[in-house]
Amino acid sequence: MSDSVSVLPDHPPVTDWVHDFDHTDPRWTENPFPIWDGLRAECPVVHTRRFLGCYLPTTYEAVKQIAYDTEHFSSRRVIVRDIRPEQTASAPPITSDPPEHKPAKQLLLPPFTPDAMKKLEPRVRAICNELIDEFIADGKCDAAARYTKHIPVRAIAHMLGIPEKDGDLFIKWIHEILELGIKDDDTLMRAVHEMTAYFAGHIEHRKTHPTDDLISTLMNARDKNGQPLSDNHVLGSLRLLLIAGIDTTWSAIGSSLWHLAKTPADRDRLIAEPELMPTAIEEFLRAYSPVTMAREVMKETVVSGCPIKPGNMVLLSFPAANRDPAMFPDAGKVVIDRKENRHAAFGLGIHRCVGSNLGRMEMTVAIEEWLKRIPDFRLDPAGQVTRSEGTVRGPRQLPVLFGKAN
Amino acid sequence: MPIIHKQQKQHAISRIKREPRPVAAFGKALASGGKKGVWSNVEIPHTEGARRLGEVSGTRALQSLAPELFELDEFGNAHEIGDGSVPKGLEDKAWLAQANCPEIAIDVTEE
Repeated sequence: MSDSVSVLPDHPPVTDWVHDFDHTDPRWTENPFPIWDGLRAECPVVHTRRFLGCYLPTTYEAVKQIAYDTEHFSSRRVIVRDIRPEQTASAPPITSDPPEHKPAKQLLLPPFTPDAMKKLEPRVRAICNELIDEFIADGKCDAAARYTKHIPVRAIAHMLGIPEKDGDLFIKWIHEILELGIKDDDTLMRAVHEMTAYFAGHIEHRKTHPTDDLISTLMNARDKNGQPLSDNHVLGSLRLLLIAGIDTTWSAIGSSLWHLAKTPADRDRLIAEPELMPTAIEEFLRAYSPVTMAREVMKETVVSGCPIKPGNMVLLSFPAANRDPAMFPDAGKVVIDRKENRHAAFGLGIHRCVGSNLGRMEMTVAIEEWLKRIPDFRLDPAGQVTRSEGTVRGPRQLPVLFGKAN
Repeated sequence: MPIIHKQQKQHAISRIKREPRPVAAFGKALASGGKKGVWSNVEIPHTEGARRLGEVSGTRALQSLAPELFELDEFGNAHEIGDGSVPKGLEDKAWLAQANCPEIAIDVTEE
């Protein structure tokens, strides 16, 4: 599939964020918020020539307008990369434009309703406690590697009906597709092929051993003509569910625990006022939104006064929108009792996240159970927090010490 | 736009004094049919593609904010309960639900 080896584009360090932003620059990964604040002060939408040309809207208004505009902005490409091969790997419904989008999304909604999540909740609580049992006696741990990573892996594996113990394999593929794959097409394609083959095996097995998991839901789905979905559609949706179900929530739980590790007052408040938890979760989602999406510009248009030309991608930054002071008073502060919070962490418009109820439930349970067992904890000064790069941002190493500081 | 009617004018008065919403930022096309926000003279525009409450999934937040006021269908889409009248004592929850809907899909009016 890939051509002969070509020279990969360079990614020199950014010196001019307004005209040459790069979301894979280590400074963005480390702390993107001041970068976005600076860009917002210049212009609602900026542009870079990197990634074969890409826009970045940084205001809530611009992000919302683009998210709602499926006529000018297509979802057929949802990751901003160094190359743009003609053939795109589809993952319905995230890569679907209208009119294909709606039926593809409809069939995924029932397994993710709040009622469905109520049924899953006890299992997620049990998973959290099993994980904590393993490390609590150590007095410290890497919360990302030992806790936050495993919760969404096991939850989505359970919903899909695939073995939880294959979790490390899923994480490897996600890393290859979402992070390495931005710059390395061979790695991305290999990971996509491996993941596809894995799911194809599970589909085959269910032909003779039907189940009532998400894989069977997709296998049993019928389009408006009563026909089953194509293999491409089923496999693409399964790849999406696995990726979307893991990296995103792993990041959101991790960022929340990072915040609580360094903010004892918020920990104490959540323990004293457990009814505050839903509001705090929404604020963690706003302030530490993990997911940035993308769109491809199909037709020329204007967004917030900025001309937008086809042939470019758009880095659709919901996290930057969520930090826009024009929309959120004290946008740069984490206010765990923020009463009005129209955050866009789960997206806006037709592509709004199918799994938001699952994500919220996992975050809530993960934090509640951690605080019950480990009410006091702090960042390990001898360790280093590292984060994922690119599309989904969250801690991948989070060394913490348990108990109060001396 | 589904409507939840508030029944207590006292609450409405306290709302009118609040800061105007930044909804004006989206107000490029004030299409006919836009509803007036109670606490400002800004119209809440029907943005192209703006989703009505019945089409939005993602309502666990709604469940924790105002479970008494919304019911969900099998797709997890929310509708106001009954004719949308807000029982006494729940007005704050109706406003909170509206203030926390990113799709601007909840409309609350006072009578």
